[in-house]
Amino acid sequence: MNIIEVLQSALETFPNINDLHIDYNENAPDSFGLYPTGDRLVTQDIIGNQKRNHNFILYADFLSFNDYLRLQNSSTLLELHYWLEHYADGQEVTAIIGENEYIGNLTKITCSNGMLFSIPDGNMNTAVRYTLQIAVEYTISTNTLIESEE
Amino acid sequence: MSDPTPIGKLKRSHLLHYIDASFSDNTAADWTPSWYLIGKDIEDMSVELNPDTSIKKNILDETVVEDNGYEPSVAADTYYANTGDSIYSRIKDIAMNRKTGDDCKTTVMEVVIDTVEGLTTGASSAWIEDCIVKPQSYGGAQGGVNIPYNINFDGNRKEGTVTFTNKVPTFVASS
Repeated sequence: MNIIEVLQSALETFPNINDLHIDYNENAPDSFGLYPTGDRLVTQDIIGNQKRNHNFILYADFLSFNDYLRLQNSSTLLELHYWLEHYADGQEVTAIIGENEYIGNLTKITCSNGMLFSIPDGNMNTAVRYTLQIAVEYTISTNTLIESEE
Repeated sequence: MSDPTPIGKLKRSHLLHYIDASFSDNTAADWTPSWYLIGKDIEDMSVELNPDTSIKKNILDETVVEDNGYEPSVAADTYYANTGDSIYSRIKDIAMNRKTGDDCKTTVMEVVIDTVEGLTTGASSAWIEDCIVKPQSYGGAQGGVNIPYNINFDGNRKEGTVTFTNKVPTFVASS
């Protein structure tokens, strides 16, 4: 699984997420959309192992017509925030570059800016959209000749 | 057989350093090294040759350079302790039991991959030498237990070639 699939898999195991899409939201309550926003090389060690960072935005549509629901919504994002930060445990990540497939590991997930993002139709009585920014750190080994002990 | 094809500018990953994680005697007839590749989590590492020269001036006002050779060493400034590494148990033993002398002695192998053939199954130039492995500290910041160590080259240097099979190097000394 590439890094997007790994995070998708992670989110799908979170108990409160039952309806997750990629780059898409259904504009219905309890619909989640994961939007990858890019990958970058952080560092590379002398034997070719790369540390990379991939950023995502998660949009979540919730009902929010009273304070009780709005507190529940923010609490769900907070719970997801904590849950993701404890999720990374060296899960395998693959990266296909040209004809080669390289193996790496998920090392860290951090979250930020979990908040109300928009009220799509200007009506708080329907689903409103929350956002959570997710940064994922992972490694891949790009050297095919030499062995790097993991 | 055709001549090897030069690789051009070498990447940093074309210069490899291994140490024998078995810490066994490389002069023994049944020496079977367990090569551990140094470099994971290290972004910058160099062999310091530490050339020892002195300049003197004689009574004729001539300058004479006395060359006393080299005292090479290399510092692996990041080693995150990992029980899955073949070197882990020896590094832990040396550091925690304050081992000295022959308990710290093993073999270092340097490989220079400078031919296109060397990137696949061809032979690359390599050198082995006795060395002393000395952990410098242990602990470090949050995220892992770091045990940086130095490798001091200890003579008995031999030149040869190395080939890789399933990513495992095999050294053959030049006759």
